Amino acid sequence: MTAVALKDAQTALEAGDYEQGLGLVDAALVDTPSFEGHVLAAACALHGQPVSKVLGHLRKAAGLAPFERVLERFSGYLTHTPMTPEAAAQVGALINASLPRLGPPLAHRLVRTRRHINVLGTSHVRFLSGHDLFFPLFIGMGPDTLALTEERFELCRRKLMDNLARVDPAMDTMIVLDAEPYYHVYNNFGTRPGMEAQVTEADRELMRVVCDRYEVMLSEIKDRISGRVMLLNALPSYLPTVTQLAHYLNTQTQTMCERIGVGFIDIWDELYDPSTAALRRDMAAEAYNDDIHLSERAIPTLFNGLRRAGVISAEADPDRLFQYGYLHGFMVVPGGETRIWPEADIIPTNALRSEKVAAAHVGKKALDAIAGHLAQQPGARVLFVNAMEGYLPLNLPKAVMGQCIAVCPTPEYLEIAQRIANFAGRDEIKFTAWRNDLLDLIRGRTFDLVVVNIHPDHAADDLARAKALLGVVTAETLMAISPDQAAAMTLFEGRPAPRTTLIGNKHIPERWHESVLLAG
Amino acid sequence: MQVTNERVLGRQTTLALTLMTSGAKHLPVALLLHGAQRNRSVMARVGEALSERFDVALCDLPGHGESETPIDVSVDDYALEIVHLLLLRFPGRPVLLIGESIGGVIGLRAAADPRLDIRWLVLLDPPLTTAKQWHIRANSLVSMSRNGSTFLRLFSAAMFGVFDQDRQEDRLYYDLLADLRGPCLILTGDLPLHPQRDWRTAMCCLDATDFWVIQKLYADKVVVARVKDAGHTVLTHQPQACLETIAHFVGSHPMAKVAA
Repeated sequence: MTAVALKDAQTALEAGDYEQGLGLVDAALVDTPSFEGHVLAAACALHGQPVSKVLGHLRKAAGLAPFERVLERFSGYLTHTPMTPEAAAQVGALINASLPRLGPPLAHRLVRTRRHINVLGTSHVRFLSGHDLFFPLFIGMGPDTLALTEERFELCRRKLMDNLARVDPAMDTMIVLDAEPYYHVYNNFGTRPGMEAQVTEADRELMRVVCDRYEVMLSEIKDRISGRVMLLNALPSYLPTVTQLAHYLNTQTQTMCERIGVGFIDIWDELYDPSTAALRRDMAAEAYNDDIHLSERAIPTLFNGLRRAGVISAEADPDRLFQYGYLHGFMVVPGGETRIWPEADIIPTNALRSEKVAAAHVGKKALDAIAGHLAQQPGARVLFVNAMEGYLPLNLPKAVMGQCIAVCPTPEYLEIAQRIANFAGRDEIKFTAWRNDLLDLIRGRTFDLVVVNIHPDHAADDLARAKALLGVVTAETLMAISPDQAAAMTLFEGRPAPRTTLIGNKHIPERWHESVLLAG
Repeated sequence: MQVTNERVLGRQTTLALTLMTSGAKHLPVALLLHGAQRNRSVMARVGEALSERFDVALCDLPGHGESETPIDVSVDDYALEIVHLLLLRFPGRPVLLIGESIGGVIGLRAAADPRLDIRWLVLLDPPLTTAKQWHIRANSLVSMSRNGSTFLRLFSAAMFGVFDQDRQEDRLYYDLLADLRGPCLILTGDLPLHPQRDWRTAMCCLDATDFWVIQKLYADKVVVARVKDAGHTVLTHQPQACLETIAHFVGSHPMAKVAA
């Protein structure tokens, strides 16, 4: 594309002649695709063209340069050609999909968190989100997180190590694996072609190999973690063969852990029902019939195991429960997100029942509009009010904000938000907790965008906090996310009527159906 | 030398900076942090002296001078403000970080972050423990009685452990020395901390216990230099001697990149 054609197209854009600008740049792009040309074409296409054309040019530009550069250049043109809210939401979706939400792992943590236990493992970790002693990372489903074959073991090892690089190495760390007996018995990886009805010597031999692989992995983890490293025992199940093999695997891993100086957290006896020779029903989650995962009711049992191992004191309180608001996910390793999935009774097949999945779904819709809006204000100062455990700010790419302050409702939410932010490598986000003196300290500041989040569990408190903060700061633009439009409208008193966008839908729990994003 | 003022968006505040540049290319950066209840102007003379060899940045700490008041106050919060300032404004540049008093403690904490390329760290009489700093306590109480701002109250409590007349906690900063990744010079004076006397004398924060701890635990990382006839604000008392010592320190630790 010639510099002359580009210059002419820019001049046309600046003069408001978008059609001519697009014609010039489109003609030039036929001969010579260029990054600058596609970004300019995207800006010209914002007027009178379908948004798909804008997105198409932005995607082509992204094929020629990093998306950060695309956004920087595109934002530069938006002073001449502002986006409609519809276009902004679609451009925002592209921004959110194209820019990383994860920063590099933090080699040194300047944001400190309270003592907690990192828990890395399979779907079994989900029940631990019910207590703030634990930081549970669901790094992959069973098939991707086991040591049945060399190939699977390498995948599992990589997932563990890449996630481990993001946790606080000074904290104790518990590994939760144990999918091998189940997937072996069902021959999912061709390791048990005979599908015998009873446990065989070949099954036991494979469990010994699995234990050897665990040893390699745990030794590597021990080298990277200065806190204590622990392995949770494999759990009983409802299929006798699986339970027998899990028990056998435990006898092997316990000996191995003692040999290499790794803690073995043994809660088998408290979870095993001798009358049924299976997992105790009252300890199991209820996502499906015969759910073999543990429910939050098993947390005191795990506390007992940790006490016996000397990891926590007798005074540690298993009732200090924590309630996450969202399902969090980060693409640490390509091919599957690491999730902070805070529900034992929810799995992908019944996820539509989940309040936390609903909150995340509504939040994601709002984030697309927010990212699109921020594309028009490079380097914006953004204030999130009622940030809970940080879902909204942590799911906006760093590149779209100049400064981000997020006010969590309580110190408990702040603690979890900081753990997740450290994991995500996002220490540029300033999280703080609501408190009496906050108004004094923030008074008089001007923010380009204030985003108020209103969660149905504590809507009245959320509104009160938002009104108090809005009373002492200036919000150039105010956005509110709420399942209750009328309540959220009260935040806009004295401002022009906000624009309303429906971001709920009928497929999520009912109280989220009418969720809206108000902006004005 | 060209002198410009600018405001930079930090992590939780807007920071006021004065830049002193000679126009020469590829110079390392010298970032100068002042102490409590002061502002960047107190570092101007050192900045001028360094500006031939460095692009100098004088920074008002959050809540001081022309910088915005922070919403949370802690050494960690202030250090992160400095880390993000350097990452944003001087990405990838080698840095000489000089911090006076609590500015030194903040610089020490920031220097531990491996995203930064801190080649030289100079701490000017940093209070490595605070309960014994009777003069800081007296000064803080007087300031709080004159200026009852929320910020000053939080700052005194967070940095020095001074809450009010009846409540004081110790703040121990020795452990920050363990995270040092490169050479560190501590410059102090010879005006002893004890006995207690008129607090406006500005006696040194470091005492024999601190020297013993540094010598026993961190001798491989830290060089201590004591300047004659100087107290806590050693740079103000003996600027020439300080500059010569800093120049010698920088000269004796060439630009070899510090391993992360």
